[in-house]
Amino acid sequence: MYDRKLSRRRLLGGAAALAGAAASSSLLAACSVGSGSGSGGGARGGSGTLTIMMPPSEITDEVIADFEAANPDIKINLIQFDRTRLTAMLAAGEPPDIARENATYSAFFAVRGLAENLDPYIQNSSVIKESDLAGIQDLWRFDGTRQGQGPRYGLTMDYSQDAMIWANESLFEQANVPVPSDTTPLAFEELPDLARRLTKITNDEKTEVFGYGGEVNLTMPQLAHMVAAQGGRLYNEDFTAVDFSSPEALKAIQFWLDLARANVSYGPTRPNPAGWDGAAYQAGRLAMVSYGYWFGAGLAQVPEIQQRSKFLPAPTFAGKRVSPSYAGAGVWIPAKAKNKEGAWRFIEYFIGGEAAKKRAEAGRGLPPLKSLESRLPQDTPYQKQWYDTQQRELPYFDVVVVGTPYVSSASLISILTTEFKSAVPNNTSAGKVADSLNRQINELIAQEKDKV
Amino acid sequence: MTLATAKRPAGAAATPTAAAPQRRWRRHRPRTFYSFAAPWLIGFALLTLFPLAYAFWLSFTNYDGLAPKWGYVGVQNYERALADPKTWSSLARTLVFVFLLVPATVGFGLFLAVLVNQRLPGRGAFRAIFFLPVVVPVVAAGFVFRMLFDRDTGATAAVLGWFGLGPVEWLADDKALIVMLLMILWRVGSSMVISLAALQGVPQELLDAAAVDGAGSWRTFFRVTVPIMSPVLFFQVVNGAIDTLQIYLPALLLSAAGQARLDTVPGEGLYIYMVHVYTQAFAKGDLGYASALLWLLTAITLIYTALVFRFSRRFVYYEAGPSDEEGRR
Repeated sequence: MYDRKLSRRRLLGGAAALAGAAASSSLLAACSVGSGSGSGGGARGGSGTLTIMMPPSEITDEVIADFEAANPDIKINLIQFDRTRLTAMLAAGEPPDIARENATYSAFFAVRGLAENLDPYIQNSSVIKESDLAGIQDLWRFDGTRQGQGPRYGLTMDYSQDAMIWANESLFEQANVPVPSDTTPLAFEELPDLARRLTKITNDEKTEVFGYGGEVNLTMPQLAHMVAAQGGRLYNEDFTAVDFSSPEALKAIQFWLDLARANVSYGPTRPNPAGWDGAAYQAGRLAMVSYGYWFGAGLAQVPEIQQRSKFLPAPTFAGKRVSPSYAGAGVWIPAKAKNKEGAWRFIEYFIGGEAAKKRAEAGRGLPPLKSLESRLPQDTPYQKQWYDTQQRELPYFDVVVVGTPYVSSASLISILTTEFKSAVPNNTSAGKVADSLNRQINELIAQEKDKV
Repeated sequence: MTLATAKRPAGAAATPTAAAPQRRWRRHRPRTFYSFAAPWLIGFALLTLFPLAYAFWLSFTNYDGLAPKWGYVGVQNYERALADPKTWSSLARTLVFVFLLVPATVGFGLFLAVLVNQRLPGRGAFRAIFFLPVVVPVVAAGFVFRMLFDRDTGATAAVLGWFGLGPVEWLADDKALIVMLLMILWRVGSSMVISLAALQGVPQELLDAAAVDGAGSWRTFFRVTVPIMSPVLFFQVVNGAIDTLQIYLPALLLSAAGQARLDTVPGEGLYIYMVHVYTQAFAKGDLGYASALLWLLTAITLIYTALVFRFSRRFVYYEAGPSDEEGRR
């Protein structure tokens, strides 16, 4: 009889074993990439369904409605940006028609043959002109070896010169520290001391105000920027090896180690409970935060902070004044996209059309086209100060390559952050950090290069 | 209906006409069973067995999902996993976590079950309150716990301040493991509900008999109630350990303020085994190596389960286990 065989012991034991097996298999299954939902449509001229993978915060319902109204033959299917899902879709040969990526790491897809060359589209476009493209768009170039040269594989929607600084004038006044000039950049060497003077610690040892914020961490964009500002470079000619042991790189690593150990900021040993330092700045607990122009639009929620925020140029080392972008979020068309023409029609609207104009007018970063720069907001005195500072900073924009095409951004972030989190509390020297980074990243490049 | 048909003597043979459909039914019974089980079996094959086998194959490759050139690398991933110090340190941290969390969850769940099993006014409300954290999304819980344990502004900082103690950086180093332990213990309500169901299944006559024999409440609890509940407690221990071995989301959420991003890198305190796997699979895109790590974990889980079952006979009481049934045959 069935009921005799199914004793309570067997039932409980079986249930436990099954739960274990099922749980393990679900985890294992997570590693096996399956097929995602593909894009639809694909008729000539780009009509049909257009599948876009982006965060809804960057492509709003209004953008979609406006585009669909102007292009009634195209229906947008927006899917939430998810890198794991994107990988699955690319692996299955069913990618979205448009995906999001930062310009800084765009060569990763290009070198694998996954991205469409957009140069022919740009050459035939009446909306997006080569001569009108902002300097950031050169970061999407890739010639098979070097980023910054060759055809473009994507376009940035908006960007910032991310090493620039926002200063809360009220907190400077409370600390009796003069607000730095918005015409002459600070030196990187000045920052730790300035942050120390602005940091306010209560009698019971709690930190009421942090002097500095942004990303107190080792990140490729920050390190590449600081090395470039000293006239050095992180990678060799063909981007197959990285060198953090150069004097320029060691100086940059030492800067971040010193800053993190100075207890003047959130960082690896002082995790920010909100997850990002912008929240602390908005709460009036951060005197300086290193974010680009885009951050100004986010200050609208706190008018008292917004009005007392002064925008400052990016710090520099003695040498070349460089003020690059650390991201340059944009869009690209996967090589196997089903509806490339529809995708380009959307990109024209998004990068050069009404959507881009509205983003520029809202001050959500610097526009992707030079012709839109005059649309940045200048209505109030503080907006004017931000605009003027930004205009003075733009000539110092330069294409600084931060990644190697062979390694993903997430891999680099993981290696650098892990190293920094270990080095700061353990008082590891910059030299040892550099050696460890060289070993880990160069091993990874060697491993990944063979697969490309 | 006649009296003869209504009162058929017990054990009387069925008439040939009544027995025939039953025989026909018996003949079809296996087919019927498989027909009903087929949807689950097909789902199991497609969604569990196939991915398992595929992941096993991947563990012998250098697949990353994107690279055009990838292939078979033999047991290289397994060798690498065994030689990787992070594998061992994260596994050790995970095992410590299992040994702390599982007894704490089962013990505390049982304690709460006993409490809310008392005939007290408002016990329904207490049951709901204790169970409530289970329905709070884990993402929200992660965010709340980050706020609670913030060094400068968290509620714990205020409490420590009352006792004249300085601020503690809970979210860095190994102290973050304590926060994660508390975050998971906060959701002990599910264990409470399982134990409560078992508690209510303890036969009243056994408790009455123990009382008649002069046993006190403690003695009755430990000598009667707990042994009868032991299969359910054992089930929780086995399942709890398997679940805990695979925990990673709370670690990521505590590290990244409610956003388990791909590039989230928890500090050493929260770098448990599944975080190591997650980092390899999603941050580094090394799906082959991550699959090998997962198969190692599966092997550990199976060994643990087998050992626990082997030793369970010593402390788990079954009213009518298989050996008893065999003895009766």
